[in-house]
Amino acid sequence: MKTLGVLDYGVGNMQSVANALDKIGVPWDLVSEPGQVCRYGRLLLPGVGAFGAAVSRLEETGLKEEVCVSANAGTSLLGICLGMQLLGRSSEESTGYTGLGLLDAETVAITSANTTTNTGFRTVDIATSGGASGVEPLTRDYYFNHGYRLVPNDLSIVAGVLSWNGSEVVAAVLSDNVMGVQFHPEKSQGQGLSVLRGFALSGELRL
Amino acid sequence: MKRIILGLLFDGVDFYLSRNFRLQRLGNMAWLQEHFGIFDLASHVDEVAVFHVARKMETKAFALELRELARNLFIPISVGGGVRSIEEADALFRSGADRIMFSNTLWNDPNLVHEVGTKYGKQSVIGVLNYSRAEGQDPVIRHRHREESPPIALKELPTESLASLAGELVLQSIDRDGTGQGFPLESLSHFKELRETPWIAAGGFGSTAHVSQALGDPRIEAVLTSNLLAFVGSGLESARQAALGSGVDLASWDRFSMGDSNDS
Repeated sequence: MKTLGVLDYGVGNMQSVANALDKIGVPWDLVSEPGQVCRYGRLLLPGVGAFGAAVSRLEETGLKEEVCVSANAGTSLLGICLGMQLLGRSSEESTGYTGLGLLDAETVAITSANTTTNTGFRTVDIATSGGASGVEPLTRDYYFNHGYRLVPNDLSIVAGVLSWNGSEVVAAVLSDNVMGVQFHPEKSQGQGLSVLRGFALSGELRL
Repeated sequence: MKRIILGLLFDGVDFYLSRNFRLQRLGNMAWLQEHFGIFDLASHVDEVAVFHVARKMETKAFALELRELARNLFIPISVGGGVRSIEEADALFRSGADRIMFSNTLWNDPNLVHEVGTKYGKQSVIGVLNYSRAEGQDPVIRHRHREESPPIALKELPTESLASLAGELVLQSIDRDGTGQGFPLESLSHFKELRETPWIAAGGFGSTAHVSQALGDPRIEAVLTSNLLAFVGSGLESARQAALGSGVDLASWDRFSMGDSNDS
């Protein structure tokens, strides 16, 4: 089985993800045909743009069903930005469109007193499994650019949170082999590239 | 968390410096890397903004150069100046752009700006407002409209419609552009309140103190400087350190090395 497949469904900024993977020196392939999906042990689902358009393209290409089959069989799957939102069930951005449904979560619009978009580097508080007292909480700065946010119904899958404008935004989720990051690791300097390399090499989310 | 953005003026072949919007040629990307270490400079900024300054944009050629830039920069890249259709925007997004900047198009073709925002999200659109101020008069937005129309006074800016089109707005001072005299923060007092759209200040940054002062203003989300002469060498790094030292909240990051993640 090959290692890393990057799902190409004709939406979003594939070039930046491709550049980052080349930079970190891991082998990868574009996956645009449903029959190719099962060949890979790790799948990356990038995404920029509107939820509905992305769902439509995933369905038209036949990738949506195959990605779900692979993820349910244990293949590691990492969604980036819109890709993370696509792992959930639905989005306020595009009512009537159904996401992959791999996570029990919905996506809602960002509404705060000051803005409706979240753009820039933000500090993410990373959930640690140990929870030992006296240990400094782990934080990292990553680049965000989004107008909608994922809201999991099961909070135990939240792997990272950013506090912003008086509210909390889920920055990363981890549910067994299905994981997602709201930020753009390919645009987050060295620590972002480390997240991609960690996933490519281990199939794990290492923030 | 605030941001420092490096602006690059590019005509599809060469990069330029600007003073009061008059351009001076520097050289191509290889020249820029050799003389300014452009790819290394990017490790001290949060974003790069590439302004296409030729009269007509050759999308294919621009996209190729953008790809080269994106191959070497792992931070957000905004591009603008000459996008005339959704197809051109598509090509730039596919080539590594994260956001598209619109200036005259905000006024000439707001439907296109809206179309890009609908397809890629409003957060992927930046509005650029170029303004100047004649002595004794209020500042006005300078824009090239299809039909002759008077400049728009800052205090008359249609802030709600702009906020519906763009995730962020750049306020670019033509008078201070390339002068190194500092951004005129007093201009902000001429604006009607614009609650939902963060401001990026551009024009005039010539010292680390200018950067710190602007970033320390609660109305400013980011500063954009194209003044390579002022910030060459360790200038951008110094500006970042000075801003951090004055209490500005800026991101910190690691340099990537292959040993960062354990193989398994």
